[in-house]
Amino acid sequence: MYGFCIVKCLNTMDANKNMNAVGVPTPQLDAASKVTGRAEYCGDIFLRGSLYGAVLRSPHAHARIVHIDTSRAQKLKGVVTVLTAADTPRIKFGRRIKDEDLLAVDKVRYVGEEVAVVAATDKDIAEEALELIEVVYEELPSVLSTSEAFSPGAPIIHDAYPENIAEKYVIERGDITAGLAQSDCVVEETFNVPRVSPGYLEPTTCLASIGENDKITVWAPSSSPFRLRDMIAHVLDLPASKVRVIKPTVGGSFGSRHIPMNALLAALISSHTKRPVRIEANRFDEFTMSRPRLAATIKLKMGFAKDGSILAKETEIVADNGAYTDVSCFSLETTAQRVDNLYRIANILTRVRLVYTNLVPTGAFRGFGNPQMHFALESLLDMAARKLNMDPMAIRHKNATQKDDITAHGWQISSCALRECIDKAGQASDWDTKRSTWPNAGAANPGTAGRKRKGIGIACMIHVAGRRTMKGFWGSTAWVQVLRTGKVTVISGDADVGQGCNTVFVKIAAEELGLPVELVEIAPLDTDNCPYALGSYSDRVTILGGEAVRLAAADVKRQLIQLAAEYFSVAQNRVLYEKASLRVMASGGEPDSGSDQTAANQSIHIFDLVRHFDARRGQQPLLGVGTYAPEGVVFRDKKSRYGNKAAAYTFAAQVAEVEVDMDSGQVKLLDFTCAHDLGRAINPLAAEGQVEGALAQGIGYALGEEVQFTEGHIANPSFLEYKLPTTRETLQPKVILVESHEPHGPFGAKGVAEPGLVPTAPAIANAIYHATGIRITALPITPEKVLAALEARREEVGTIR
Amino acid sequence: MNLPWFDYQAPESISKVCALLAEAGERAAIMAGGTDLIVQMMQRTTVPELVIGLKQIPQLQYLSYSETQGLKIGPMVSLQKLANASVVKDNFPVLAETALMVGAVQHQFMGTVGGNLCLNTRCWYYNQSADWRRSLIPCHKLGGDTCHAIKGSRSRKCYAVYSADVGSVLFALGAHVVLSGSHGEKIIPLGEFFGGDLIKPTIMAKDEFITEIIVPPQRLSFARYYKPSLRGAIDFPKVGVALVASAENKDYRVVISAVDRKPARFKDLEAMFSQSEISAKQVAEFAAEVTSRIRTVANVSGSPAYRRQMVKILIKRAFTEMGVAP
Repeated sequence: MYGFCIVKCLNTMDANKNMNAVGVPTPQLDAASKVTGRAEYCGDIFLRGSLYGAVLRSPHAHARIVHIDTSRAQKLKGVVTVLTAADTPRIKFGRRIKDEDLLAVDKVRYVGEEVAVVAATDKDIAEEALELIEVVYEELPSVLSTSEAFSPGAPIIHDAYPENIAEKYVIERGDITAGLAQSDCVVEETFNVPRVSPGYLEPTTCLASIGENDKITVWAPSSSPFRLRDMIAHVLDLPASKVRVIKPTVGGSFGSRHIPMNALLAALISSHTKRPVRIEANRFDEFTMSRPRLAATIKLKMGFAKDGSILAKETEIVADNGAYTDVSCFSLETTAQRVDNLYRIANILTRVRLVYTNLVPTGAFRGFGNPQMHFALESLLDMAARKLNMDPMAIRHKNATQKDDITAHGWQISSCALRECIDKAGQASDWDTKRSTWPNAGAANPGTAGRKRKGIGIACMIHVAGRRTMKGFWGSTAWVQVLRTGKVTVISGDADVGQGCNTVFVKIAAEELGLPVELVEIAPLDTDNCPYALGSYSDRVTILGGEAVRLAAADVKRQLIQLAAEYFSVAQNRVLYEKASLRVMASGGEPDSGSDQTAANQSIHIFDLVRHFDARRGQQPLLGVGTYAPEGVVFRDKKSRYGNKAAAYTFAAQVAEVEVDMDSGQVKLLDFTCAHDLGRAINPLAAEGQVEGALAQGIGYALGEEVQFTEGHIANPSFLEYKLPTTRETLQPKVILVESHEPHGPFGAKGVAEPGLVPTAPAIANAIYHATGIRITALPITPEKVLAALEARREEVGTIR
Repeated sequence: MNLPWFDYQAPESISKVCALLAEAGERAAIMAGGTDLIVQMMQRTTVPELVIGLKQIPQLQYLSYSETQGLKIGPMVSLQKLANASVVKDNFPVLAETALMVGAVQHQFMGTVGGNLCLNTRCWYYNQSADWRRSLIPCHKLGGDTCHAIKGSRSRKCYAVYSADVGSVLFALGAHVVLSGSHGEKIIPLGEFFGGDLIKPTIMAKDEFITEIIVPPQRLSFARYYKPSLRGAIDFPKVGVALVASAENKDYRVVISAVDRKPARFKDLEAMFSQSEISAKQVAEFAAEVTSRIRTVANVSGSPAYRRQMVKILIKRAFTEMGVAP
């Protein structure tokens, strides 16, 4: 059962007045079908005459491909084709840096890289055929860490990048030297964050089939079906009109399934064999295939005035790209800049390097570079608070960004309830009491205080809602259709991958049209039939997609008013849209030339109106179109990196309460309070679910998850050894949804999909610090690390660090 | 990952199983709950031609207790049943508590006591899919002559560890097993049962299987198993520490799991506790000695140093909870 959801509203002037759908907690439209097993995922789709595809992966971290002999595999009865790079157009792809091939061409650069694909009549034959493909490799020395990548004489992974640096740049604002010089207190630390795997439960099964005129249809669990379509067209050197992508129900994406590799391979196989094909993935494949979170080493130095004001922030980030870039360059931009806007900081210097290694390529995972830097900064802020003898909540409150600020990077904060989030989280968690009564850090010898110690810690966060990711149109388009059957259909290309945007769109359309939610449906997502959409990422779908839906519904209303005016033979300005009906207003005392006064107060329901005209004029679609991208948002300027980058910004404060076992180092979570400024909760039930789900991932990031390597191989490619939290490690947090009413969003909404895990790790780290006086600067905070730190501290009894 | 092809038989009597085993020998594998066997088959670390399922044999499912004979457990008793049976909770509550620590709820319903006892030793380099192991030469456990957990020199030892929780506690309780085969039946104490070698830790031959587990009647003043693991479910133990104190003999049995190919016990060190009064100093000495004798390597979850440290800490914790003043 869902926990209690507390919704706090600011400026409740128009909020919730007469709202039928917006703000009403609603289970997801497909919740029942998901829990009863009726929902149709890619894995549930079987195409007649389908082949099975299997993928041969590289066993080496870095090797030259000398020779591939597929003849024995081809001869196996039941094998239809074996494909290597030679069978592809060999067009490099990538989101900005195009360094990747569909199948390895002359080199493999990480363990697990796709080298060949087999298509056979059944799965066993396909897997057996993999064993018969002979690949002669010449092993090359490999680069297994970013520091190895820099050492003189390090192996070159990509010839075009002889230093193994995919990207490097510097961002400067204000005067860092002056800022640091003026500081009364300077704190410096190095933080390390590992790869963590998105861990979506639905494995990536993709299907492809070839139809009339060689048009390829692909079924994939993609969060950006249109971009997937374009990518398939790109790598196969086809016009986009020859590719169609269908997205069924998706079991989670978390940013990692924009362009599932299996979809590209399925399309390749189908286009060669002219037959349908299905490629499955097991969890071992998923660990290799789904791009984990960007790993990084972050050196951070901050300067503070003695009243706690932040005067300077200097950062050096070395990020692990893995073997290919994918979207890591964009994640890194987030790491480099986003947290700077959480507080009012004028003097900033940030140096970043994105470094190739012969490890699994990193990419996008919920949070997109933000959790990494928040771990560093929110931990360091606590260290500074200690030095300055300030309450950690107070130092954040003091420096907090506020509404109408223009930050050092030019972000225009159109709505912000950060201070309110901090206050509410503090109240709900009883911060003041626990902060003073629970064991405090550094004072006594931790060994004597009893086996378990409790601590409470806070961290804040800023995230975007709808970052501008295109120079051209970067928003969303939606269509809303009113049908004579008495239904409204919302047609959108923005993908629901489990986060619930379908339900949000339905509620928005229902609200705008004054209809009950049951009468609004969402059309299946098919790139042939839906408007082009960029997809689900960057928390854009509610704010941009949702507003497009609202505008489309508003467009429908305008058309309905026109029709009603015709129906009642009155001027349009006498027609009022009210509760899914159109009513003729009384014209008042003025003589009304040409209009029939008896029409006054007559009304007709919108469906009756539509049916009336359909019957007389043929079914003309009553179709509303909405397109939305707010003004004043710029595309990244590569030189200055300055400008208002997103439609809106979201904020949060999370308070973690922990209990540390001083003998074993085991950390237990006692409670969590999450206060999130999401603008407006269109669906409070789903918003709470997003926070809870993200929190679970944040807990994993903080306390146990880590993709571990042994000589380039992922050592723990299963949920047995990769410590995804179970229900025993997660908990039901107190969720406080704070509504700051964003002017750019539908009904004031921004987004809440990613923020739930951004401040979680530092909140936990800060709570552990409060409990024990030890500061762990490398995630995950395992019992091993805690115990080692406690032992080290016991040896320093008497010295204060 | 698919299962490999295999024949499956589920005979209805113990003698039929013995006959099948006598004939098939190395080519067969016994399946109790299947929670370990199926995974090993999917990973191709075990590829039996014939799987002999035991679930149709009612004689293997009983659970009974008597003052004279002790607790008799059929090998097919599920962990869930063991955890909830009143004969277990009343007489050997440590077994019920430990059964609830194994895997997750789903494992406890499908997994069996016999299966847990016979759990194959584990190592990160062994318990991986065939694809993963493809680029490594076979290790000792796979018939080769190296160990990947030890970097550098070619180790002659296998470091895979015994990771069964209930199995370790049964050992600490001095349990016996009845092995049945075409030879008939023999009763073996677990100490002898685990007397195999690195590659084959138990002395069970390929043509025999466990048909009964017997925990002798004993009055215990304390019995507890400690299982540190990162998560509260699913995980195997980083290490395991069991302390069983007999009320009559005043003897203390300490068993450490996941540090050796079998549950480890150091009887010579236990002799330290022959007096009736145990001091904290003795416990500390004992813990330090035990810890110095075990060798942990980086082949399971948890760093080797941490695992050794936890052995020391948990031994002390166990004695403290038993009543020795810290």
